[in-house]
Amino acid sequence: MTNITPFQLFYRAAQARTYPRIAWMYRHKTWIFQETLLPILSVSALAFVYEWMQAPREYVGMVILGAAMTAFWMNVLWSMGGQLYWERDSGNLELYIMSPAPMMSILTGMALGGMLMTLVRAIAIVSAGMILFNVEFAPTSWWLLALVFALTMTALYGLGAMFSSLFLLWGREAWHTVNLLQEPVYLATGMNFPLVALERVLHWFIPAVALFIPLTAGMDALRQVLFRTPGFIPLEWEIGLLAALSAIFLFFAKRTLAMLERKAKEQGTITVKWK
Amino acid sequence: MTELAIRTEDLRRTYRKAKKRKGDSPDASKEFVALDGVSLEVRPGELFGLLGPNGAGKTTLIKILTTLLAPSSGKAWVDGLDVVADAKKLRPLINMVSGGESSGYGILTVMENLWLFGRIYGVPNAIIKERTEKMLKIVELSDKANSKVSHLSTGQRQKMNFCRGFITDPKVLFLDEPTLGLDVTAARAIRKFVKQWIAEDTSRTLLLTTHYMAEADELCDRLAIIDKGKVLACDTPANLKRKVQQYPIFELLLAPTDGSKLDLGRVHGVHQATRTETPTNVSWKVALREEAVIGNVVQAVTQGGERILSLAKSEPTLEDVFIELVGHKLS
Amino acid sequence: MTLSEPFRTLKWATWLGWQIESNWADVRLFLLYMVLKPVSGSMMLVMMFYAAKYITNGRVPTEFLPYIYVSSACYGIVGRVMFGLSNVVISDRENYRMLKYIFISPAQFQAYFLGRGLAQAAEGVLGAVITISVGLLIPDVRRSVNYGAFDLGWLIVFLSIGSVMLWACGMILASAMLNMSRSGTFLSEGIAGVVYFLSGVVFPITVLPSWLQPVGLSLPTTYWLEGMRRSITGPAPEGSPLSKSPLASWSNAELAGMLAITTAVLVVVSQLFYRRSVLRAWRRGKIEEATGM
Repeated sequence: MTNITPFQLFYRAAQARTYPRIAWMYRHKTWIFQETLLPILSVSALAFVYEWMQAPREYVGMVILGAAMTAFWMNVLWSMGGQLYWERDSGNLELYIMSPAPMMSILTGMALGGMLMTLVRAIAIVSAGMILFNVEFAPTSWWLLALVFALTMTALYGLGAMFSSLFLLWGREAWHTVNLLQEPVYLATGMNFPLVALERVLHWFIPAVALFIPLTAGMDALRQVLFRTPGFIPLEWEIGLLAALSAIFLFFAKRTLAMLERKAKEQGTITVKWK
Repeated sequence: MTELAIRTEDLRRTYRKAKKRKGDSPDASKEFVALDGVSLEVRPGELFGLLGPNGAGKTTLIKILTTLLAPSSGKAWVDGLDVVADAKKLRPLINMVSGGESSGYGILTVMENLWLFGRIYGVPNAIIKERTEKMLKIVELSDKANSKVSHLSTGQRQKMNFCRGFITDPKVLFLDEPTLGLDVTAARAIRKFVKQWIAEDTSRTLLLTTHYMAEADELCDRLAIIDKGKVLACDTPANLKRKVQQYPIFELLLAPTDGSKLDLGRVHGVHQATRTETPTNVSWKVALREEAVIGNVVQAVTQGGERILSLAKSEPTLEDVFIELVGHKLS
Repeated sequence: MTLSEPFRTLKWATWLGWQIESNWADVRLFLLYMVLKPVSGSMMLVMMFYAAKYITNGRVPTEFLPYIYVSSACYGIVGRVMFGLSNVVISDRENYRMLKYIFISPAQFQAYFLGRGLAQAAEGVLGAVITISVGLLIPDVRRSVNYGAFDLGWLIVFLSIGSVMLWACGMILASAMLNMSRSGTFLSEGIAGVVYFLSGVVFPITVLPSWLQPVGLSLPTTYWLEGMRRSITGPAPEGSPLSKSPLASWSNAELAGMLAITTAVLVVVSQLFYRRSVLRAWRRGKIEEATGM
C-alpha cells in the first residue's frame, strides 16, 4: 500500500463507502417517491389528528418537526447500524474489517450516503407542512436554530456510531433491537407532542431520562426556538446537554467500536451470516 | 521474528455452542474445536498450500491470520506482526479472497466495486484503474467491466472477487479456494497468474487452500494437510508422496476371461493386490515389496492364461497422500 | 399435484415463518417486541390526545381516545401482513437466497406465501390483543369503552373476512416485489401509508377534504376498521362528532357485506396479478437476483 496519511485513508474510505448509496440514488429514482410523498402522507395523517382535535396550529408544526427530525434518527439507525447487518450478510463486512480503513470512516461514509436522502425527506416534510397546513416556522433566532440543529446532528451520529458496534457483536438481535428503538423512542422523545405532556400524564422521570437521547433534547430545544412553546427544561440547559452528549458519544464511539470489534472477533460473529 | 512470512504457534480456536439443540446427543460437547494446536511456518516468497476436507479448520485458520477471528489460545504472526496485538499495522499488508464469495454491491458495476475496495486500502485512483484493467484482462472479464454485479454469473462474480485480492498489491495474500466455481480456462489462467505473481516479487507470499489436488500439486511449494483442526503433515508435494508410497505400485489392465481364478495377491513378493472388474476389462493394482517382483506378476498372469492389455507404473498422487493420512477421500 | 400438496406447503411454510420470526431472540425479547413496539405506537396517539386536551382546556371529546387507540391497534395487523408478505420475498430472495429453491421445488408457491403470511398475521393479531389489553389500563380508555357493546360474533366475522382481504392485498404487493429489487419496499410502505391516511385509522374520514372522502370509502380497509371498532367498542355515542361519519348509519351486516364484496374483488385481482408477476419474474430471471442494496 502506498504511503498515505491517516486523514487521507479516512477520506478515501469514507468517500468510497458513500458511493454505493449515491449510485443507488442515481440509478433507482423510486426513492424520490419514497422519501417525499410517503412521509408527507403519514405526517398529514397525524396533522389531521390535531386538526380534528382543534389543537393550536403550532401542534401541527410539532408533528412536522418531529417527522423531519425522526428522519435523521432513522438514518442513524438504518444507514449506520442496520447497514452493518446487511454488510455482514453479503460478506462485505469482513472485507472492511480486514482492510486498513478505520471503521469510523466506513460508518461516516454510510451516514453521509444516507444523509442526502434524509435531507430531501426532511425538506419535503417541512415544505409540505408549510404549504398544506399553513404552519409557520419563525425561529427566535436563525443562528440559535442552526446551533441547536448542528449539535443535535453531531450527538445523534456519535450515538449512531456507538450503536453500529453492537451489530458486530450481536446478530439479528441487534437488528431487532434497533427496530424496537423506533416507536418507544418516538414516544419517549415526544415526537408528535410537547415533552411536558409526558410529565403531566406519566411521570417527570420518563422525559428526564429520555433527554439523554439526543433526539429528545434536540427536538425540545427546536420546539422552543421555532414555536416559542415552553420546554421540559430551559433552552440553555438543553444546548449545554447537547454539546456534552456530542463530546461524550464521539469520544466513546471510537472506543466501543474497537472494544466490540475485539469481542466480535473472540466470539466469531463478524463473519457469521443469518445470525 | 521477521524472517518468516507466516508463523503460528500452537494455535487453538474453539466455539461455544450457544444452547443445546433438539437432536443433540445427551453427551454432546458444548464446545466445538475448530483448530487444535496448529503450528506452521511459511517463508517469504513461498506459495503455501493448505489441504483438508470440509470442516478441517482451513477457513478458521485463514480468518485468524487475516485478523477476522481471535484465537482461543496460541499465537500467530504475519510478516512478523502479531495478528491480535498488531492487527491495525498488519491490515495494509494483507488481503484475502474466498471462493464462492458473494461480497460486493449488486447495484455497482465491476469497475466500481473494485474501485471501492481499492479505496478502502487508500490506493490512489490512477493505480486502481491501472491494476483493475490489468486484472480484468487476466481473468477475461474486461467485457463485463461496466456491467452491474447483480447481472453477473457466480463464476464471473468469483473472478471479480479474485481481482479484488490483487488490486491492493498485498505482501501476504490469502486465497481460500479461489478457483471454486470457475470454468477450466479461467481456473487455468488464474493458476498461471498466481505463479507469475509470486515469482515477480520474492517478498510476496501466498497461502492457498484448495480442494483440487492437482491445483495444490501444480502450484504449491509446500503444503500442509489439515484435518479436524490438526496439521497431519507439512512438506513439499514430492516429499509427501515419497513418504506415502512405501512400495512401488503397478497397474495392470487384463482382457476379461470367464472363470478366472487369478489371484495376484498370492504371488510371492506382492504386498497388496486389488482387483476391479468392468464389462470390458479387469484391472489390478499391485503394491510390490520390490520393483523386480513385477516379473513374477507378469509370469503369473501369462501362466493363468490371461492377456495383458497394458502395464504401467503408478506414481502416488496427492489424493493417495491424503487418503493415507486422513483415511478417506476429500470429497 | 394432489389436494393435500397446498396444505402441506401451507403447514410447513407457516411453521417456517414462525421459526424465523421467533428465532432471533429469546422469549423475553420476543414478548417485548410484541408488547413494547405496538403499545408505544398507540401510546404516541394517546399522548397526542392528552396534549390536545390540555391545550384546548378539555374540549376534546373522550370517545376520541378509544377510537384512535383501537384503530391503531387493529392497523398493526394491516402493516404486519402487507409488509410481511413483501418482506418474505425480499428476505427469502436476498438474505436467505432460498426463494429460487422453493420455486423449483414441488411446493405450491402461493401456499408458501400464504403460510408465511399466516405467521405474520398471527403475530399481528397477538400484538393487537396485547395492545388493546394494555390500553384498558389507561383510565380514560377504560371508562369510555362500552363493554356491553363488545360483540364477539361480529368481531370474528370482521376478523375472518379482513384476514382474507389483507392476505389478498399482501399477495398483490408480494407479487409486485417479485419483479422489484429490495428498494421496492417503498411500495408496501406507500400502500400502508395510504391506508393509514385514508381509511379513518386515527381520525374519521369526515376530517378529510371532501374530494378525498370518496377515495377513503372505496378502500376495503375503511369498512374493516369500522367493523373492528364497532365490534370492540360499540357504535359512536349519540351526538358525538364520530356519529357524523358516513359509515355511522350502516349496520354491521351492511359493513360486512361491503367488506366481503371488496375482498372478493381483491382476491380475484390478486390471483390474476400473482400469476402474471410470477411468469414475468421467471422470464426476467428475477426470482434469484440479489441486488445487495
